[in-house]
Amino acid sequence: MAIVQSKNIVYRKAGAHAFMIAFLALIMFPLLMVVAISFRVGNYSVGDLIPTPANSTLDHWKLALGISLTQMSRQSGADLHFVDDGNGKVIIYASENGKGSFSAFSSSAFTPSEAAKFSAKNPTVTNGQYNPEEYDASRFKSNSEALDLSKQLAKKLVIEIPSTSGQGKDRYIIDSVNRDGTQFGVYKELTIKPPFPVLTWLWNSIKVSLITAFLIICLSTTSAYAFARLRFKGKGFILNSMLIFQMFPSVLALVAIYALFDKIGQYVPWLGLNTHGGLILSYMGGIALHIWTVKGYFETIDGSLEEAAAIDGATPWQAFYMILLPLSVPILAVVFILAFIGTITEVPVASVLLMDVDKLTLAVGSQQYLYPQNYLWGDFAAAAVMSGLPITIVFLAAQRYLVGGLTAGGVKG
Amino acid sequence: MADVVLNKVRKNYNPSLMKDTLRNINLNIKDGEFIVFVGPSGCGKSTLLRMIAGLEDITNGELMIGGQYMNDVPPVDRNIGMVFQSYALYPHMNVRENMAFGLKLKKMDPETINKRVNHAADILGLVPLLDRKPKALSGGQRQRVAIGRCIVQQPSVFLFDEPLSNLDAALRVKMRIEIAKLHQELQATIIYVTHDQIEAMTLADKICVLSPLRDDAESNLEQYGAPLELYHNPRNKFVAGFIGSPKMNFLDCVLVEVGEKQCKVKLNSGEIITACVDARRSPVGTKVQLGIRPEHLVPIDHPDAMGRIQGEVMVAEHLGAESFVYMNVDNKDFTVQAAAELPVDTGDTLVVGVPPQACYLFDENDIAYPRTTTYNRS
Repeated sequence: MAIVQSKNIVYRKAGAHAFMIAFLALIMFPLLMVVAISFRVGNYSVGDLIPTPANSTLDHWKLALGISLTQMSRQSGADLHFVDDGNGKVIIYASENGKGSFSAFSSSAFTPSEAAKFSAKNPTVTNGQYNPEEYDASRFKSNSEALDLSKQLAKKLVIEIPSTSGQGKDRYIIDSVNRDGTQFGVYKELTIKPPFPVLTWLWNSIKVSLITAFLIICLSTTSAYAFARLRFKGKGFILNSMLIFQMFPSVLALVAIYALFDKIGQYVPWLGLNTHGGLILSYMGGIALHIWTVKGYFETIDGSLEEAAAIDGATPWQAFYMILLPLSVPILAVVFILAFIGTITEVPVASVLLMDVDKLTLAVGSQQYLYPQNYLWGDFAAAAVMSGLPITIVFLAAQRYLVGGLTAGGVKG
Repeated sequence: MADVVLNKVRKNYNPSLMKDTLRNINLNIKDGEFIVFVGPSGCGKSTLLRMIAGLEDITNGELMIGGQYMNDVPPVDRNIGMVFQSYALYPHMNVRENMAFGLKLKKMDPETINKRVNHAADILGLVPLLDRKPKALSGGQRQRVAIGRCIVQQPSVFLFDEPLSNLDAALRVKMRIEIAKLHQELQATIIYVTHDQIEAMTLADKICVLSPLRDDAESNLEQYGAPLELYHNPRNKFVAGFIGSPKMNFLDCVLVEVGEKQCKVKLNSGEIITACVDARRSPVGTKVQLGIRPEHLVPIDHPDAMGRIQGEVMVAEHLGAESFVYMNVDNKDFTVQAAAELPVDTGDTLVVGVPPQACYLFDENDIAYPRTTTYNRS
């Protein structure tokens, strides 16, 4: 501003900026915490804000994105022995205390020269069997030889054994059990499948929110046109009562909503319980605030533009569609963003109306990670951050339309 | 091109209030005439125009355009074009699209649309501006686009709603001439609303003077006639005071003598003024009002001067070509339009001469007495 200000304006500005930065940091803090939780090993809600390399993992994100995890489970108590089979080949023998037990297995034989060709990038798979025959201890290689062989084979050999349950194969791998690489043991490969279809949930959320936002725009703009431009009895009463009724959160009506959609579902299957159609229909009611917003914006646009259109031969619909709507693009962007965000974060009604795991939205589904005795904060956090992505993209896309000065030059004075 | 006939038209916005905006408007506008509706703010002239356009409904009465009853016909079918006070250009379209909008809605073929748009742009000097948006145009250019938008529809009646009120003074004069030229070129019926009586006097074939409706009045259409007719023979005090700038001066007086060709009145100061007015319908002694236009007052040594009016000067404005002297006569404001070099100052006493041919007379109900002659200051 060009107004002359007193000298201390510089300090006041600096103070205001410092406050703003501090406030923004305060707002960003929870978001950063959630992101940190999603990268932290384990499912803890407390820890460093910036994940250290030792304490960070992509596991939660892999599960969220539908990628199965491979975890190495240390088979404690299983000793590793290398047995000379008498034909120049070596057999790996893992057992408890050198005796046969249900977890003991042996691999098929291989020569040391073959072993030299193994690589960690592409581990060689060899077959093994449970409950092998016993070997006498004299055939076992010495400890130092065993150590050399272990170092040579660590991570390069996968032993596949048909599972005792009859389904699939168990896979074992040799790796060091301490940091210096002086002790080696056996690890079992565990595949952890993603428990929930998070990407499906994300797609459901985006689908429902986009359709809802679009339909809300259609309904609220046409209603706002009626309230702003047309004259009819009871206009003020309807507007005010709409606003008052919408002050009550929809949570209060959950039982009623359930009963209603149960009934609707009996007549129109795709609008009933456990359908996305029904969910979208239930969101259509929340337009009172949007009607007020759009109505206020329409009232700032001079009515003489529509009168000129009427004289040019436009029907009320044409005047609305070709003159009023193009000039209202900023407010349409605002309503779209608000409706989108409101829908994508909505939990109560969605949790009541949707039942199948495949049909859930992200907001409802991520709560499945919070088992009563075991809150899986890490996985939950990954799902939560994912739900922020569509909102961010919608915001960035809508920026273009949040322009001012659309009606400049239309009317004078 | 069409006639516009209004028959006993009445407009009431709020029936429960029982307050009319317009009452008993009767107009017969011939094809090709330039009609101006004038009046002060709130007299209903814009309402009348919008009723002809179809943007307001008519409470009572008939509207005929081109001989057809148009009360219930929507604006698009009335074959009219309207230029709004605020121009009402579509901001998101460029000039070409603005002008072509109505034609596109009528589903005309693109060739015809282009031809008409280019022709209108030619007439109005808009050809280099066709691809600009309204916000990149000046006020005068926007107004021409608004006019162009009407022309392409080829309407039979053009309606202008105070189109020059948003322009600066110099541009206003220029656009006034443009509109007059447009009328000659298009030969169309034009109905023009303004509160500026100079625009009315210069542009109109006929002027329709409207006043704010009084509850007991029969109509608020005060007079309908040619500009000079309204200037020389106003029907009542309202029209007399409205037409002419600066405003006519009014003085209270008493009728002392009546005659066929002229009469005599006595001012409160005792001065006797002769007026070329036929006041025979009222008896001697009636309280009347004398009207005299500032431009008709002459110096006392002027050959036309017969009566005399004396007053105390309050303000003297010297404009170069002429001077305006604002006096206090009989505790009323009195304006004199004088020659440029008149040496008066605040506080001086000024005596002016009153030619009898220049006088107007109005009775107690503000109705004018017929004048027997007109006056032009030589």
